[in-house]
Amino acid sequence: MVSINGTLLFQFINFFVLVAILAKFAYKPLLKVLEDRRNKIASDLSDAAKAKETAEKMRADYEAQIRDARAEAQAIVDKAVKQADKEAQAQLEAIRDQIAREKQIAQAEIANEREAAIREMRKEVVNLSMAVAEKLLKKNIDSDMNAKLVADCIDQIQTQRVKGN
Amino acid sequence: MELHAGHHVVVQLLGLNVNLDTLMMTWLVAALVIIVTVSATRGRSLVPSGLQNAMEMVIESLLDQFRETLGPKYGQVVSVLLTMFLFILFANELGMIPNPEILASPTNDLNTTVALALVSSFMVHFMALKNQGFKKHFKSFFKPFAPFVIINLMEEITKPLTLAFRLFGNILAGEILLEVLYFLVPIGIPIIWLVFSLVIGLIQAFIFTILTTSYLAPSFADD
Repeated sequence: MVSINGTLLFQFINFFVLVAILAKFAYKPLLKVLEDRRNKIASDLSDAAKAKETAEKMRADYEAQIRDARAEAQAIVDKAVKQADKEAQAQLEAIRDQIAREKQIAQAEIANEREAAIREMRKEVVNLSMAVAEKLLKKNIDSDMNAKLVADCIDQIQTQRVKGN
Repeated sequence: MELHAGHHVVVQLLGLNVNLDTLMMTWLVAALVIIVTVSATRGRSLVPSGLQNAMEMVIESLLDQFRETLGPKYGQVVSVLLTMFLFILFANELGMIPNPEILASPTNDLNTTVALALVSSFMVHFMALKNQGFKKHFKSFFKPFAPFVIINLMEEITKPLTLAFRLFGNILAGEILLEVLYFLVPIGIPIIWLVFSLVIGLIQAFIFTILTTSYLAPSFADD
C-alpha cells in the first residue's frame, strides 16, 4: 500500500507538463485579464476624480458669476434709487424756489396796495382838512386857532403814516 | 470485505514499475484541470461571469496570499503554486466519487504526494539560489549559529516529508473510511463523511500550497 516506485518519476514529469500547459493557455490570459481589470479600475477611479474636480471648478465658477451678477444688480438698483432721490430733491428745490418767488411777488403787490391805500387816504385826509378848513374859515377864527388847526392836521397825517408803516 | 483504496495495478513502463491506475487518474485530473481552467479563462472579458467569475475569485484570493507572503516578485513561482493547488484540489475531490474500483485520487498514492513535495522542495532551493545567491543560501543553513546546521538540514528533509505524508494520509484515510462506511451502512452516514471529505480535500490542497508558499518566503525576502 505504501511503496515508492517508478510512478514518482512519472508524477514529477506529469506535474511540470501540467504547469507548462496551464501557464501557457490559462494563467497568462487570466493574469492579463486581472491586470487589465486592475488598471482599468485604477484609471476609472482617476477619471472619476478628475471629473469631480472639473465639476467642482465649474460650480465655483458659476457661484462666482452669480455673486457678480447679484452685485451688479444691486449696484444698478442703488444707482437708480440715488438718481430718483436726486431728481425728487431737484423738483422740491424748484418748487421751493417758485414758492419763494411767488411770495415775493405777493409781498410786493401787498406793499403796492398799501402804498396806494395810504396815498388814497392821504388824499382823503387832505380833502377832509380842506373841508374842515373851509368850515373853520367860514367862522371867525384867530391866527392862533389857525396855527393849531394846521399843526393838528399835520400830526394826524403823520400818525396815520406811522400806523400804516 | 476487500479494500480497493490504496491498492494499485503495477505494470512495467520504460523498464520501471509504475502504478498504472495512479498514472491514468493523474492524466484524467490533469485533463480536467486544463479543460476547466482554460474554459474559465477563454472568455477573458473584463467583466467576468459564471465559471470565469468563480475561477477568478479562487485564483485572486490565492494570488493575494502569494503576494502577501512573497512580495512583488511572486510572479516567478505563481504558475507552479496555482497548478499545485488546482491539481491537488481536483485530485482529492475526484476520489470522492464513490466507486473506488475505477476512480481513486492520484493523491492517495505516496508516489504522487512525494513527487509534489519534491517539486515544492526543489523550487524552494532553486528560488533561494536564484534570488539570494549561493553564498547567502549556504550561510542560511548555519543560522542562528553553526551547530544548527544539523537541525536545519533535518528540517529540509522533514519539510517535504511532512507535506507528502500529510496529504497522502488524509486522502487515503478518507477513501478507506468512505469505503468501509459504504460497506457497513450503505445509506446516510457515508454521505456525511463524503461532504466532510470534500471539505478536507479543499483544505489539504490549500494547506499544501500555503505551506509551500511560506517555505518559499525566505527565498523572496530582500534584506
